[in-house]
Amino acid sequence: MSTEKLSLIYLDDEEINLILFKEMFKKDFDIYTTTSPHKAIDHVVHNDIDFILTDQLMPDMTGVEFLRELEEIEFSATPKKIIISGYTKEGEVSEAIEKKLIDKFVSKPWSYDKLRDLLLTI
Amino acid sequence: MKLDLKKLCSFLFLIACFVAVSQGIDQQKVDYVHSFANNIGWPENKEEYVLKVITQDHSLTQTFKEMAATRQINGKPTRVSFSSHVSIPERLDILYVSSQYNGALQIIIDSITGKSVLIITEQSSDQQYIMVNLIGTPLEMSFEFNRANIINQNLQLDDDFNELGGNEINIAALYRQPRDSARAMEERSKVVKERIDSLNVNMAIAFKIANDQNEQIAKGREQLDRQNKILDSLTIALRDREEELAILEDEIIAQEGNLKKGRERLNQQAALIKQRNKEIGDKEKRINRMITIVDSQKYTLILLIVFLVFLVAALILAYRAYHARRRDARKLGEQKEELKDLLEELKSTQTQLIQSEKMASLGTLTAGIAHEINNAINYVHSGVHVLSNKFSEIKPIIGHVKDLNENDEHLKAKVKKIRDQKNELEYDSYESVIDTMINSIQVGAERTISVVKGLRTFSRAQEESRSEIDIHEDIEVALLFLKNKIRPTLSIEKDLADELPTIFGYPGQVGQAILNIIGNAMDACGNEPGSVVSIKTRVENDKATISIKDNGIGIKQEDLDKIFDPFYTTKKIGEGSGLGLSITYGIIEKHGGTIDVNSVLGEETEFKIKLPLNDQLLN
Repeated sequence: MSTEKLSLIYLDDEEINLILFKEMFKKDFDIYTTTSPHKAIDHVVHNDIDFILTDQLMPDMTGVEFLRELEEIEFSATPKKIIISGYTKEGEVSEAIEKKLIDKFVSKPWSYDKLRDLLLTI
Repeated sequence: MKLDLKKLCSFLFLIACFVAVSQGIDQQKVDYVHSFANNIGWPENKEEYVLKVITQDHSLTQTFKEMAATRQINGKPTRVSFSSHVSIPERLDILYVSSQYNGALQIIIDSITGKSVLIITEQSSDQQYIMVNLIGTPLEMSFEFNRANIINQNLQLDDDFNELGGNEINIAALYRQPRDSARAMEERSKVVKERIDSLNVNMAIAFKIANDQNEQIAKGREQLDRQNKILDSLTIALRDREEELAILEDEIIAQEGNLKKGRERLNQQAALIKQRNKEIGDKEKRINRMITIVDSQKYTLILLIVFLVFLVAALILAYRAYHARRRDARKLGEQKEELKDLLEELKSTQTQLIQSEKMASLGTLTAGIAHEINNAINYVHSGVHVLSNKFSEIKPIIGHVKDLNENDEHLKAKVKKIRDQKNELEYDSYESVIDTMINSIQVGAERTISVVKGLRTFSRAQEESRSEIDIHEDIEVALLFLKNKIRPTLSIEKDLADELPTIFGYPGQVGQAILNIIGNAMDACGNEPGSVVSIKTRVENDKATISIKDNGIGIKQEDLDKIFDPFYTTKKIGEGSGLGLSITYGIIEKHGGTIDVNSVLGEETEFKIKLPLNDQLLN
């Protein structure tokens, strides 16, 4: 059953967000969550990932920085990239959207239906 | 024929010489003269020869007369004249000068210049002036001649002249001698001239003196004349006076009697005058005393007047000053009122300013605050979502449980069905999920509360009353609000005092000050890796100290003086109002505290706030 689901990775420094997300969407996606950007990169490189979701404001690096770093690494899959943040779309994020570095921006708090529809329609 | 005649004459001359010795010296002289005349070449043929003899010798005169009468010269008659003084006639051929006149020889020569006159002298020593000069003793008479002088007179010497036996004067030697002697003479004359000059000078002086004396004498004489005249007139006057005196004497004698009487009367009057004088003296003294008194009184009066004038002036001045002061006081009061109003206005403006700045900074913080709240809300929102999902799944089981009745005969079967449903739902895993969700909701709610509380604390209006302030809480709120500024490259190090007593003041304001400084510290760090903002609190000397230090870009020395100035900012337009530090300074000052800044450009910056712990707060 799990093989049919789309794979998704969610990077956020807040553990609770990860738990909440996983609990919400575990039926819809094959979810990998982590608070470490390095673990996330490692997972993306070694797995066939459909969606990359990341928080923007994190202590080690921002979501945009994480995605930028990821872009420099060659891997076969072409996952959709989404930033989920309580932060606004301004600055670095809007710039990243313009440069097509990210596909979508989702603001916290998210709602299950909207986020699921969004993920399934990109 | 003529030559023969001359030879004959020479011959005769020799005979004559011979005779001369015997006939006497005069005859010798005359014979010589005759021979000379015959042996001279005259410039023109003459009808007669004029001979002049200057001598005092009678016998010689006689001898010449005989010669003139008896003998001819060159076949022509001879006219002779004599004189005992030097005189030269207009017509003259031969001049004989006796030795007595040798001194005048030069004068004689000068007077015959231009005439062809032969001068014969005797015993002359002036060889340079002579023409023919008889020399020698009466026994051995001879002659000498100066050819140059003779020729100079336009006369010629015949060849036979030499045969007459005379000596020709060596003219060269002759001229050398006078030249030498002339030099000596010159020297002598120089000395003499000097002497004469000095004599002349003396003489001139003497003349001058003599002249002066003469003048004085003349003046003296004039004076004497004048005095004599005066004396004469005086004598006359004296005589007149004497006469008058005599008359007066009589009158005096007559008046003496009168005088005596008058004197007596005068004496009486004098006594009277004396008495009067005494009285007058007394009166004068009295008057003087009175004058003194009057003077002193006058002085006092003047002083009094001056004093009064001054007094009046002073009073006027004082009155005016009083008025002015009252006016000033009134003005001052008005100004004070105005100032008070202004101060109030200023205070309210300052308050407004602080509030505005706060709101402006809140604006910049919105994103961070929103992030914080959004996260917290997400906890609640998602938690509730999951929880409600789970609950809806559990709901049928709960319904079944609710329907259970202990008297139900199918109780066992129903319980079994519920247990099956529960197992089907993996309920055991649900419990932990539900706990997690509840926890998530709690955390979200708490975080929301704290953010809102922070916002409330931070944005409280200025007119709030003073209350206790927990500085650590303010620091936490600031860090919460500034969360979006915390770059991944930046770490926050907190070293907070174990127990920091609360201070008394306006909580919102102190929080604003702390937030401003921490925010600036974060800005100073930028994206530089290894950036650190360290916050340290301590209690030192009854003061709470808050040190906020960063290892960012630092502040330029020239900017350090200005950073607390309003509207001074080094940030880009839109990034800062330039009011943050100015307002921070005002807040700390208002709380009786101090704020110091130390910065090393490119290394670090430290802001140190000191706030008094005692609750006696400055207003």
